Amino acid sequence: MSYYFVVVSPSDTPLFEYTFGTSKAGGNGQAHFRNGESSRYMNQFIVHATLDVVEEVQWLSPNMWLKVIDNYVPTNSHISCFMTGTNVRFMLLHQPSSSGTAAGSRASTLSSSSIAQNPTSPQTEEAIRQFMTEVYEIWVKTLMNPFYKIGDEIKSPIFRTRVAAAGRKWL
Amino acid sequence: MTSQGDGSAGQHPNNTSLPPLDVRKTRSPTADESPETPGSILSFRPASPSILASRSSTLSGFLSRSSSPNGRSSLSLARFGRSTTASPLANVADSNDETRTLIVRAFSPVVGVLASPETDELVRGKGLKHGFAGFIQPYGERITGKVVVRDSVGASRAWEDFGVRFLDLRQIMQEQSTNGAETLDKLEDLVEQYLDQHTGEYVSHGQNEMSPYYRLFLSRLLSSQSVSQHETFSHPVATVIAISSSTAAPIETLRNLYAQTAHGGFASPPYANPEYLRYYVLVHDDDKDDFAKSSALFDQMKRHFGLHCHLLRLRSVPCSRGDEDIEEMPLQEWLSASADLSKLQETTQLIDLDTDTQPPIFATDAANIRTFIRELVSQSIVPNMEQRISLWNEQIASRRRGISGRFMSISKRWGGLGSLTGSSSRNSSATNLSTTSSTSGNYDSIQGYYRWDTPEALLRKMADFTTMLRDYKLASSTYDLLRSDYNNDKAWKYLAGVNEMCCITNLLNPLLSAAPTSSSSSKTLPKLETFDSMLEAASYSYLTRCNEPALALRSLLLTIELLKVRGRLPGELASKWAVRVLDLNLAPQSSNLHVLISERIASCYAGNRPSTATNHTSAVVGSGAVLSQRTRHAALWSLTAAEEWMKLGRAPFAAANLQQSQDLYAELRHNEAAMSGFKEMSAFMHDLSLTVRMKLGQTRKRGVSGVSATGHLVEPGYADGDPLGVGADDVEEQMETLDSKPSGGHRRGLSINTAVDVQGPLSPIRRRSVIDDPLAESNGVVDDDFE
Repeated sequence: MSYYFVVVSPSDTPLFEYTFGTSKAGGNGQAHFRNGESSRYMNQFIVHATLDVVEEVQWLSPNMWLKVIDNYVPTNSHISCFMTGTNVRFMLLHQPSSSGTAAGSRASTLSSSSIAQNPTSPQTEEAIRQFMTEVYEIWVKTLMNPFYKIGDEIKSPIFRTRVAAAGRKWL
Repeated sequence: MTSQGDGSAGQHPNNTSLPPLDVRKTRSPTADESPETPGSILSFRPASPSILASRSSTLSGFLSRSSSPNGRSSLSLARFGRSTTASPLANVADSNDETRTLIVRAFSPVVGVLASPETDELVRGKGLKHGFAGFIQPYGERITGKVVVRDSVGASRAWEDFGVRFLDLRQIMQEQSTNGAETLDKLEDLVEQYLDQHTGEYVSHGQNEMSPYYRLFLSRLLSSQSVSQHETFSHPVATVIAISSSTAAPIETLRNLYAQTAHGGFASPPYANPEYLRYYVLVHDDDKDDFAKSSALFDQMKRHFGLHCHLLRLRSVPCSRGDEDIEEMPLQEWLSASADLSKLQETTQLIDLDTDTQPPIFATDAANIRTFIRELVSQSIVPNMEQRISLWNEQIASRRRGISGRFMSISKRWGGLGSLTGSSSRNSSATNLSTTSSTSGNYDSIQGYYRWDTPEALLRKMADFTTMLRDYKLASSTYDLLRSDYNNDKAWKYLAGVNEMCCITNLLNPLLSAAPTSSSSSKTLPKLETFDSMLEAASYSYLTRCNEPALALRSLLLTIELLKVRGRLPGELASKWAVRVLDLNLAPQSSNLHVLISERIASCYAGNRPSTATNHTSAVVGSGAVLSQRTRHAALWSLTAAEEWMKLGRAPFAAANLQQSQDLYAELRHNEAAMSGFKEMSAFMHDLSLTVRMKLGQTRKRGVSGVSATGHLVEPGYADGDPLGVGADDVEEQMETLDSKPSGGHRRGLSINTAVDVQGPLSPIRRRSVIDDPLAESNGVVDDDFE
């Protein structure tokens, strides 16, 4: 499974972007998107398109955690969203590894409910929720930094390493 | 910081009663959904369909731009024209009707034609090489005058666009079902050829309208269905048996031809109903033969064969362009893909020879044929079909629908079960026998069809007849009745077909389409989940069980088209299935069909936006954000289509789609910010538009399109957002609406508004400051503007 995580400001600007792969089940934490090089911009396009759905779903759910709200079929990408109180959106695009058939021998040892294989299973959802909650905490702490101006891009390396750690831990 | 925009918008959720200046204020995309806005203001709405429709002019402007900077002034002009002449609702209905008409007309009765050799000879003597059937084909598609059809409850409806499709009976009966994949290949070829012919300029279409190529593809797909056991649309409803006045032994020839249709070479296969209408035609040669003789023969024919006879007078000498009283033969609209391909080949040869493609016909001949077809349809075919429908409805359908019918089917099912349990003591082969006999009563599972005279086949035939006569209520209920039967019998192809038709007829039913809003459609239409599951069943059975990709594609595309115009939730379902079409790999990667479908997905999402005033219930929530817009999705898919066109090397098409995509992105509230933030995204957009323009420049230099666009090819600022263009456009728009207002205030006031709005769409914050302090700001701006 490959992940693209982005924090989107209320004015649709990305505040923080991070691309990573799974660290579970022998993954090395590197992203392997099936659309290769074009994934760099396609992921942005897809997440940006999902904001449509966020704007709709945010009114229908009392929770901050909105679960998987959209998918983009051509690349088999699924997008989850977590809303903060100030309309900053944490968007996570997750794409199951493309080697479903090619590396079947290795994949067959994994159960179908494992996070890497099944993007819509409850286990995956729970893992992503944990990840989001943890990132939310880190994010709130970053906001408390007196030198950070709200609405600016988050450049803090500590934030980045912590998000990476959360990614390793849960995803 | 960004919550400011929301706040200001939220204060004015309903701006009807506000004076014009305040209307300007709420002109941010956040608050443009107020339902009761007067008509003149509708032209501002980014989502208003009038603008969508006028996007067509954007495309043409984009391609043929000559003097105006990036061709946008023509767009704004078009906006006024559209928003003042036609209401936006009417526009939606127009494009809706067009699709609907296409689908309705696709299900028209097929009439076989069997002509004696002399008749064909006579027509060929006129210089028409396709014989008698080919001669009358184009006239059958448009029957002059209204055709009155009575439905099952006895109410008559007159149809202006009723048509029948004449096909050579030999062709119908001998061209047995071609492989579905083959059909798709042919369609791809066909679209390819048409696209090649029209490289010069892109025939523009709006976001809600259908691309002409997609339309072409859809109509060819619809008319490419060969005779199949599971549906009777391509089985002949009647057959025209024609002889000419020069035929020796006319009565015997007629009998002979009849025998061929009944049990000779052209007899129906066991699944097609052979009891169709025969219509006898005597073609009188006006130039050679004696009319008195022919009319005596005609009287004799009437005595032998009853009332279904006609005497058709034709001239046999070839018609040349110099003659008086001629007209061109109309173009044939409904052609199967293969027929169209061969026709294209012929015409390209003809074009090389520099001759006209449509042969001239004597006006008297054309008039005679029109009368003949009108009589054939309104006096023989339609009454015959009506009579069949009422007969079958009484004998089979109503018996099935009644309480006893329900008991019958239940007892049939339980009877099977009972015999199973009763025979449990016997060996297993006996139970197997009993179960198979109870489920597959009439279904021949080895050959895969019902015989034509089984109730299941007759019911299907009846439902198809009602569909052809456009009585969709009865049709959909009959299809629904059949679903369980076919499912029990595991007749997969029949099941798929009946699911497909159930979707289509339900959606075609005009009574249900009266209220297209999302709230009421859930009441009148069957539940959306029903459509979802029926589509699932249809596509799965067609694809996996029967390997019929063309049929699967047909069922999905038709339902998508019909769902798409039904409002929000059905529209979402349509988009979902449209994406699914690509996912099912029905259109191979990097083919023209693939791109056309991508374009269609974009239009599904774009049409999904709450663009009509009726849709306001879902629109205003909280801070005035518009619920359930899919603008970004639409823009993304337009962009995908543009990229795919580019990969196929068709720059004009890519340019049009790119423009559409950029327009859609420009409608977004925070487009600027998003584009500057998502760097790879905007870089990609920029690159794509550069390549498109370079490619366009090349083709133009080669002089293919003949449009000179010298300045714009190197203009760099065009790609992202185009701030100046949008601004200028808006100014004009504002001016127009203000002029149309009765107050007619000061020119000074007008210029305040325009000046404010030049900056309006670019930065909400700046506009907000203007609004907060109108006097100071406006003074400043006006001074800047005027001095």
